Amino acid sequence: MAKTNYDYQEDRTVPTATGIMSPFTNLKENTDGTKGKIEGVNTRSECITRDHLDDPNALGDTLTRGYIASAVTISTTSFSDVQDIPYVKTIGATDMLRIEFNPFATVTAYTGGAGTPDDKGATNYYLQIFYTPSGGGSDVPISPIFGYGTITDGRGFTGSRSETTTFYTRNPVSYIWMPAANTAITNIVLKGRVDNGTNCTVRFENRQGFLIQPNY
Amino acid sequence: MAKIYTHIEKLEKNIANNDGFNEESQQIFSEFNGQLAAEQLPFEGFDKTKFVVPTRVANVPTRPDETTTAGVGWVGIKDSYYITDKKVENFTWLRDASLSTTILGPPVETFSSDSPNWVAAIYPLSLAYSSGCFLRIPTKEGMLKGCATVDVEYYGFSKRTEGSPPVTGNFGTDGRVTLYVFVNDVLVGTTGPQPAGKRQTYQIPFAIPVGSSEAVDIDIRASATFDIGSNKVTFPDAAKVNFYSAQLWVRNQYR
Repeated sequence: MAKTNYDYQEDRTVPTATGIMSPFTNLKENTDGTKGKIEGVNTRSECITRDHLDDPNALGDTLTRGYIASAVTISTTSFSDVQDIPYVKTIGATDMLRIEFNPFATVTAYTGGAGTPDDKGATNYYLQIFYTPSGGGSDVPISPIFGYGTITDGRGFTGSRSETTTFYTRNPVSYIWMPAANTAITNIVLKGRVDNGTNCTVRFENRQGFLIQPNY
Repeated sequence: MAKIYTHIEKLEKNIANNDGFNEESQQIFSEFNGQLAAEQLPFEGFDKTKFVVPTRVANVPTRPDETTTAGVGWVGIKDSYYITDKKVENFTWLRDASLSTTILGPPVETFSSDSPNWVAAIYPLSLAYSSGCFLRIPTKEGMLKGCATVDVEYYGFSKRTEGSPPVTGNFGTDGRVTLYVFVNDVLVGTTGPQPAGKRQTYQIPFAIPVGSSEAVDIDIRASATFDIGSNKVTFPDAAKVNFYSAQLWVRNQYR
């Protein structure tokens, strides 16, 4: 770190022009633009504010929000769309995408005959986050699969679906996506599936989601 | 901008020396020597190209003994993110021989009242999970914010009391499962006791200030209870807690 020096004068010596000018001469020499005389540590990080940025807006995060008030139902044993947020971008190895969904779920139907053990054994629904690759192809899962039950039961794992719970619940799902290689995408998609594709229908409404990508 | 004041009053017949002449300049030089205010830096001094490009880091420890390092991170100029997850992905698990439909599974960890593995104390899930429940990360002074997500299944159970006649009923009213998030062994978030009787994915958001450190441990723990009430009971259906997919991510927002 460059510093100016100042030689203090001893008592009873006559001031000289050189002595009086010495700090200014020192300052001039240390700020002559030579690389290395002023080092980066001279500017502490606390000194830098957003006002110092040439283009503050370009350096903020990119926020993308998705909201769908209407409902969608899921009743198959393969993953289908719950909420789709268009996001056309290439996510690189130095990028990070924060993903959050928060759909409002309810079980709308249990149909069919009387309860069987299988009803209890397979009464869950699941959520998972996917991306849609640019240029086509199947959606690619990125998050874990998270499960949610549709029944409340007090007898181990052998109850029946007569113990189905009617409920409304938010199902928040979040993920931090940091791909190892450049990945061109067009959409971030929350998908759902059920265990019992014959008898169970789960409805999602007031679907909320947002994406955050730092832009620097 | 820092103000500069005239602070030396020249006295009559005082002997002038270099120090006296130069004292007014000392604050200027002290600022040059590093005592700068933000306003003294020119507004046009920085642009995007001056910032360090964020880096991706791999092999973040996901177990306390660092035998597994399945976490990944992203280190930016103002914050960093780290994540680990455990994915249960196959829908080929038959829960019970009496059933015919395969579902997602098997669980990563199970507590069962009919086996000696029930842990009523607070149990670090990283003992069972090689990833998804523990992160050891470097931090800078600031805030640590994050979210733990665990897919938990705890249905109720039944028990039979001895008597005349024996009574079998649905119990489990005291069955509870609780998830916790600890940062350096300090509890920062919990679900609170959740009643048995359902499958649920819990999210636990948390936030805590942190200092600069080479290693901060964040982990998910769990505890569960079941009620006995009397020692003259048997359990036709075991109390059983299943843990499936898990995920833990944190953001270190620098001060």
